Amino acid sequence: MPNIFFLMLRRLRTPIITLILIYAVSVFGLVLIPGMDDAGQPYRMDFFHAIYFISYTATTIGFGEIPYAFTSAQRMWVLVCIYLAVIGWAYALSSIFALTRDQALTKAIQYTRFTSKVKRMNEPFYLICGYGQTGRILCQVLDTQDIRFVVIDLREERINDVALADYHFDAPFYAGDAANPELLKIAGLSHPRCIGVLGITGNENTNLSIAITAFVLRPKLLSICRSKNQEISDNMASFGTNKVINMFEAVGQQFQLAMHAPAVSHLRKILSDFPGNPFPPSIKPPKGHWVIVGYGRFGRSIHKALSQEGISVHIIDPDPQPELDPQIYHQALGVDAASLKTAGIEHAVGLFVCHDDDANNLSSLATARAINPALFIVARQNLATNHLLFNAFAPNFISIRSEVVAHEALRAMANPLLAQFVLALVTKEDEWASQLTIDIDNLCQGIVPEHWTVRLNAKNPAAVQAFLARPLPSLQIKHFYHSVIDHGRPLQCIALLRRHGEKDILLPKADDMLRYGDELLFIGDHHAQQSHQAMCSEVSLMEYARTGVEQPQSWIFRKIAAWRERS
Amino acid sequence: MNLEKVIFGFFILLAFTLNFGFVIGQIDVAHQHDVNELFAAIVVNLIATVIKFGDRTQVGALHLATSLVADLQLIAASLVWWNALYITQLGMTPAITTTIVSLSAGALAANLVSVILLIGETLQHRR
Repeated sequence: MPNIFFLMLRRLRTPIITLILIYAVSVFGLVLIPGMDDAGQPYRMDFFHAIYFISYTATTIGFGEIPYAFTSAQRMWVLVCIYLAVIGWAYALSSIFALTRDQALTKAIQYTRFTSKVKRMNEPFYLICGYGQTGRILCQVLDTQDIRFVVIDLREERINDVALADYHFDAPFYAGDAANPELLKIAGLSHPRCIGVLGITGNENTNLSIAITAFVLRPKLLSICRSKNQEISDNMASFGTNKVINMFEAVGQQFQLAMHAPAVSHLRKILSDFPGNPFPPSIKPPKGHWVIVGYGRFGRSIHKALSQEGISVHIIDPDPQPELDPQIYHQALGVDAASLKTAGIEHAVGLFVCHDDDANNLSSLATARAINPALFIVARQNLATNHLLFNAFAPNFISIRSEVVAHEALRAMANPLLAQFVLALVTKEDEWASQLTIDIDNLCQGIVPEHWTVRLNAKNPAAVQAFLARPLPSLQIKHFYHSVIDHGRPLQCIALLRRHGEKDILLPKADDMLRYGDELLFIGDHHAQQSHQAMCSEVSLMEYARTGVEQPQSWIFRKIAAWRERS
Repeated sequence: MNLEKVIFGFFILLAFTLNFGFVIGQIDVAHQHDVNELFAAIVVNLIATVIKFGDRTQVGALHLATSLVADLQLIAASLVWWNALYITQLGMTPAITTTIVSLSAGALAANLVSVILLIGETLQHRR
C-alpha cells in the first residue's frame, strides 16, 4: 500500500506544485499590497491573515474581507487570486479523478489489497482456482460450513461476482491467470494456513500447471484438480495430485453403481451431498435395452459402464464412430422420431441424452418420451442456468457436470475418514446399506447430516484425561451418544467408522472399548457436533458423559467432595 | 543537460539558501530575521518535497525524509511566531525570536543534508 500511495503522489506532482505556487503567490501579493484599517491608517496584512483569507477564498467558502474592508488595489489582486485558485483546484481535482479511473492503478491497488488480505488470513482456507459453475457451488458449501477460501479466476467479470455473492466473510479474490506460479504463491499457496488447492478452471493446461506448482511449492498440500481426459489425469496424478476428478469417468462410475447396487449408491450419494440439503432421491435404473444419444466422452463412459453390467445398448451420434459395432450404432442427431425408432426406443427401458448442447438434449428427450412414455430418462444438463427447462421436462435423473465435479471435490476435501468410508461402502451388500440409510433418515429426518471426526490423541485434553489420568470407567463409543447437559438424553449421531492405527472398523458397536490414538467418524446433527467439540476440549464434560456425575470444578468443592467420600 | 535535473537542483538549493538567509543574523534580534524570507523558505521547501515524491531508491527516500524534516521545522517556527503575535500577544521577545531562529536552523541542517546528498549523487554519476 505505501508504494501505491507514493506512486499516486508522484503522478500528482504537477497539480500539487501548481496549487502550492498559486497559494504562495496569492498570499505574498496580499502581504505586499498596502491596505487601510477602519481608522484610515495605512495597514499591511500579515502572513497569518493572508493565509487565512486565501484559504477560504480559494476553496470558494468566502467569509468576507477581514480584518478590515479591502482597498481597491487589494480587491483587484483578490480578483486575480480567485480565478487562479479555482483553476488550480479544478486542475488538481480532475487529475485526482483521472488517476482513480486509471486501469493500471486500480489493478495495482487490487493486487496490493488482495496480497495483504491473503497474508492476514488466520484461519484454515482453501485456494480455489476457477470461479465457474463448479467454483460457485463449492464456495457456497464451504461458506455454509464456515470454511474460508481465496478465489482466483482469469476473467474479471466473473471474479467480481465473488464480491456480490453475499458470503458470510469477505473472501479475497483476484482476476489473474492461475497458471502463473507467482500469482498462486501470492494467493496463499505457500501460506501456512492453506489447507488445499483446487484447480477447477475451464482450461486443462491451467489445471495441470496448478497441480505442478502445488507439487513443487507444497508437496504435502491437498490438491484437487479437474480434467477431461485420461492423459491429463495421469499427468496430474504423477505430480502427486491427491484427487483428480475426471468428470466423465465419475458420472459413468456413479451410474454403474446405481444400476448394480441402488441402495449403496443412494447411501453414497447421501454421504457425499452437502449437509443441510434434503436427501437426494434414490434412483433405480431398470435393466433392459438402453439408448444412448450422443457419443462424446460422457456417452463413452456411460457406454462402458452399461456394457460392464451386460446391458444391451444402442448409440446414436451425429459423427461417424468407426470403432463401434454397426449393429448397435447409427449416425444421426437423435432428435427426430425416425432415428430414435431405429435405435429401438419403443422397446427400450431407458434413455441417455448426453449431447454437449442443452437444446439438443431437451428435444431428444421430448421426442423419446412422446414415443415411449414409460422410459427411464437420464439427461445431461450442461449449463446450470437451464435448470428451469430441465425441471419442466422432468427426466428421472439430471446429471449436471458442475455439480458432479463439486460433489467429487467436496468428498475429497471434506474429511479423509469419510472418503475412506465411502470407498469401503462399495464392497458392502445392498441390504446393509439400505438399513444404514433408514437409520440415517431417522436420525436427521430427511436432511443430509453433518459429519465430523473426533481424534483421541494428545491434542485432545479430554482424551488424555480419559485414558491416562482417570482410566476408569473406560471410554466407550456409547459415551459419545450421551448429551453433555442431560445425561439420559441421547445425541443425534452415529459413529460410522473407527480407525485404530491402520485398521478401519465400519459401524463400530456402542460398547466398543476405545483406545488411545483412535479416530472416530461421526454423522449427525449440528447440536451433536457442537457437543462433541465441547466434550473434547473440556475435561469436565467428558467426565460427565462418562460417569453421569457432575464433577466439582473448584478447589474447595473438590476438597469437600473428597472429605464427604471419606466420611 | 537535463532540464529535470536543473529544476530538481534549483529547488533544493533555493530551499537551502532561503533557509540560510533567514537564519543568519544574531539569534535573538527580531529585525535581523525577515518574515517574508521565512514564508518563501516554507513555500520552496514544500515544492522541493513534492518534487522528491516517487523516487524509489534509497537515496530518494533519504531526500524525501530530509525535506519532510525541514518542512516540519519551518512550519513549527512559523507556528511559534503566530502564537507569539496572536495567542499570547507577547510580541517578538528575544526568547521567542531565539526559538524561531533555532527551529529554522534545525531545518537548515536538514536542507544541508539534502544538498550534500545532491552533490554526492552528482559526483557519483560524473562522466
